Amino acid sequence: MDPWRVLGLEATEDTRAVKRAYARLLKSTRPDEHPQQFQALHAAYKRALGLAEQRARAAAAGDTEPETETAGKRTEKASTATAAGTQPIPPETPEWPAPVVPDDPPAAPVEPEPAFQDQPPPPARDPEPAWAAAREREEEREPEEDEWLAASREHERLLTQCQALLEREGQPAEEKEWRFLANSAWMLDSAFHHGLGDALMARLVERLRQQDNKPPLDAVILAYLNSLFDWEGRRGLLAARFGDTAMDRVLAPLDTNSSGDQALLQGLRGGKETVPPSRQANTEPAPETLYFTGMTLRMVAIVIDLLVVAALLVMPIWVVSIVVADFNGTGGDISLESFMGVFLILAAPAYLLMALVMEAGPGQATPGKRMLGLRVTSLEFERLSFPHNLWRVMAFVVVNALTSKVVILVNLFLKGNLLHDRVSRSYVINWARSQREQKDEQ
Amino acid sequence: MAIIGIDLGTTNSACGVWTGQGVELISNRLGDVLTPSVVGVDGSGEIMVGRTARQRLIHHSDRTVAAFKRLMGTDHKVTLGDQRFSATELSSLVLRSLKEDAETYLGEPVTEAVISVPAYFNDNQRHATKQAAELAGLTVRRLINEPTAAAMAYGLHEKQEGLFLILDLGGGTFDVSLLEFFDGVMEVHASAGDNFLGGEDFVDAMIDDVLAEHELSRDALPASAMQNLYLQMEGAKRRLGNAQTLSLKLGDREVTHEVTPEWFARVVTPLLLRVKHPIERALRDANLHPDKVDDVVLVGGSTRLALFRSTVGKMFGRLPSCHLDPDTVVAVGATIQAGLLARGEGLDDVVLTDVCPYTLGTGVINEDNPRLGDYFLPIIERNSVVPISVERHLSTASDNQTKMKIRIYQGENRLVEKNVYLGELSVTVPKGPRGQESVIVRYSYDMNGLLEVDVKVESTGKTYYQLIEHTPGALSEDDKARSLQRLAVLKFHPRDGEENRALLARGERLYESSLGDRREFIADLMGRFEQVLDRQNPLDIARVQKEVKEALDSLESEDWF
Repeated sequence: MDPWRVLGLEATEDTRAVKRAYARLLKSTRPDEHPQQFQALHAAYKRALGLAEQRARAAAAGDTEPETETAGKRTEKASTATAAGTQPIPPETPEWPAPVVPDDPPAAPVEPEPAFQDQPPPPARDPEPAWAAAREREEEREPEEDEWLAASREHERLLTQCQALLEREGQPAEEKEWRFLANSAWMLDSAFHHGLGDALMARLVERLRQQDNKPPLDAVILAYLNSLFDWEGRRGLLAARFGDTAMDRVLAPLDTNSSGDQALLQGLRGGKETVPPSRQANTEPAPETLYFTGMTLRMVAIVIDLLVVAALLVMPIWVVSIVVADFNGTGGDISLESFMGVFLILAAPAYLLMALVMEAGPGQATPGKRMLGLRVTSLEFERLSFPHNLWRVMAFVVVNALTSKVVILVNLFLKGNLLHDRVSRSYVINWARSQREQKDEQ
Repeated sequence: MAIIGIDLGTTNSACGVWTGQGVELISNRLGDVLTPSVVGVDGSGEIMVGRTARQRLIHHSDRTVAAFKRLMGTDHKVTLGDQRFSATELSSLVLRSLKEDAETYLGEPVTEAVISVPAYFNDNQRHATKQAAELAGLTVRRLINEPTAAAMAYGLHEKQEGLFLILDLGGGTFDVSLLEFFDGVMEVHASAGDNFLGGEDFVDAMIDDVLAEHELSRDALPASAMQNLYLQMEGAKRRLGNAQTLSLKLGDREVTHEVTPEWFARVVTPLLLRVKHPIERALRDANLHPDKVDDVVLVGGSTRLALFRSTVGKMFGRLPSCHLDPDTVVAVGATIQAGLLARGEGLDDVVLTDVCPYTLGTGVINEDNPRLGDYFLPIIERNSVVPISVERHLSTASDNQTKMKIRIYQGENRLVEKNVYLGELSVTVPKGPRGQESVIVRYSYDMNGLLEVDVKVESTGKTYYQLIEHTPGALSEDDKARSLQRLAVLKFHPRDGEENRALLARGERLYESSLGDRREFIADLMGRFEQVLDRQNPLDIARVQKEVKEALDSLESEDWF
């Protein structure tokens, strides 16, 4: 849509007029009351502002020919397109001092370049008596030159020290030993600071190549240096120089560093203790590929479970039967048959109860399944809710108890996704194997 | 009914109200405009907030807590005495205290407020702030970004037009906003910041350096010694101009420490470097050269540091301005916003447009290198003007997929795991070959900086709204009801006599940190004061209260506690 029409203006080069028109319209299109119209108005305003600046520049260049104007419009379109694109950091930021380190191959010794100071060559001044200008230049020249020398010497000194730490054999450097960087008074000078950060990164990239892509610094030191040089924030700029993969590799240890909570709590004053949030169960990431559990393992798991149930049941039944026998006056004689009878009646419900509770619990497995590294999950590979697991247990009973022989036969051909699993929309995953295979792959 | 403006700070809080003539900052029960954001529980389980609580920070550090704003939006809890509080609940206690002060001042109930938050607060932290207000019985009409609030105060005060860079270095957070003011429009171009950088960190850096020098760790000192050290360093930071010698008690050792500007500069250089990063980022995002900035405005108590000023001065080649009181300017701005919302007199011609400081997006399958985890797909780019609503089409990634899980993230990293997780919702899609089914994900970001997400399945037309399952620090409706109930039964110190209690607490602190004659003198003074308080004769109390205050003032040259 034509931004000029939205703003109710003729095409103009007067940015002030654009702003005034926008301000006037904004009063009746408040962002909180008319969000959509506001977005349209704001977009039109931004575009019109860009166009107006373009025209003003064209006019200033004394070029009012219609061709250049359309050309100007075309470039403007292109630039708004990039502005609306997904690149958060513009590839070039000419307003910042150029990085200091030269672009030649990293093997070459790094020479400090005269970019420490924002020191453009003395600009052409207004007409002035030549001698005055010359003298003035001489006067400021002296300290500036000194300062520049001091800066480059400092740059060199710090870099040498860094290099020594990087190349030290045997014991790797500790974070403490890097602290000297922050002690330099020059660090607060923007150009110096950026220059040093980039130069150090060049060394790190070089080191990376020498060491077969092993990250040159560990997470702690890298985090500290990153807090000084904001490499993460300037990643786009650095990647343009050193390449994306090199940056990824050098900065990779930062990904694993998570001392966020510590920093959070250090700032707190007072309070007896802080209670960290309870961690959710099974927070470790699931393996990429998950495997079903085969029939054999499932059977083994059930056997183990039944043994567990038996072990748990024998003692109580024994005690109860003695008490009951005592009460009946039979004098502690219990027949094996009655004992087995009670046991068989209780074992199956006990197993089912255990499955119901434990498969929906944090372990997601009965003891037998747990020992074998199996896990019961929903179709989304998450823990079952109790109602869902009740459904699963009932499916197990109905499917297996009613038609047991056929079911076992059919199950043999289902590759671990058994009938009752299918009916209850759940999986039994061989978690241990999935993790193992993932590790092997890596 | 009036809407009040509240600055809920890390170190201090303040509130104000728009009165037709201008902003009126509301004094608390002690007559101060600033209420320290400190909460304490006394021996009988009663809650106290503000200066009285801060006086108790050293000697009752297990029952008092400060700087809890940093825990907003997390699940951490703090134990005071035998009760446990979340940061949201602690903030609600401070808000409740401010609300009561405002009600006393206005003589009518107050139920609505504009609350300022750091511009760089993320969605979780904003939600937590909003919920804290709800627990305190306040409806949040608007969450305003602190630098924006400060700019409003400046814009209205100076009636100046142009491009301003606002640097807000508070107790715990650092914010940068680039604003333009013209024809009654206040346009925020870019915001950036650091949520873990503030005055408190400068003191922490000093403490760490001293402890490292004496080869001690933080855990080696008892809590009260740490608090004492903290207060001494805080005081030294405030008097930094001239060299000073502190005598510190580190456990069983007495050491002297020379605090010089050079030492301070060396210790805090890493922090000053961190100050520069967000400034550079904001300028980069707005694609502006530092020369284009008409004025650099400093806000927040920590900007009083000379070293901070000179660092900023060097960056921009000019002195930054700070004509308004940096401690209260945010509260003034929040109050102006409250006046705007109520369409107060003399204010109807300012419109504010703001931006979202973070990129918001979702995770998408990373087919190049699945080991790295999913990629982050930005949906709303950072520094887009708000309110904004953006739609994206996403399609299924594998054959016969029946569920899509849309996870909501905020941050700038291209790997989704490294961004801040805000929540997720899962939607059911019909089975089909991969890529055939798609959903429209819409992110809507409102003026308060709060995000809403809805997802529409294209083939079935079914719409899902955000149902966050686990957001750090957020309260569900049940939690909120429970929290409200719990907070409702907490007993507060009565408003009356707060002045006396603050004096007693201050006396107690001075007593414990003094020795010899001085100590006896304080004991004597406080004993007499308590006697008078017991007799409950208002005239006597008023007279002795003044005496005690003067006596304590003479013992302690400054009272910034």
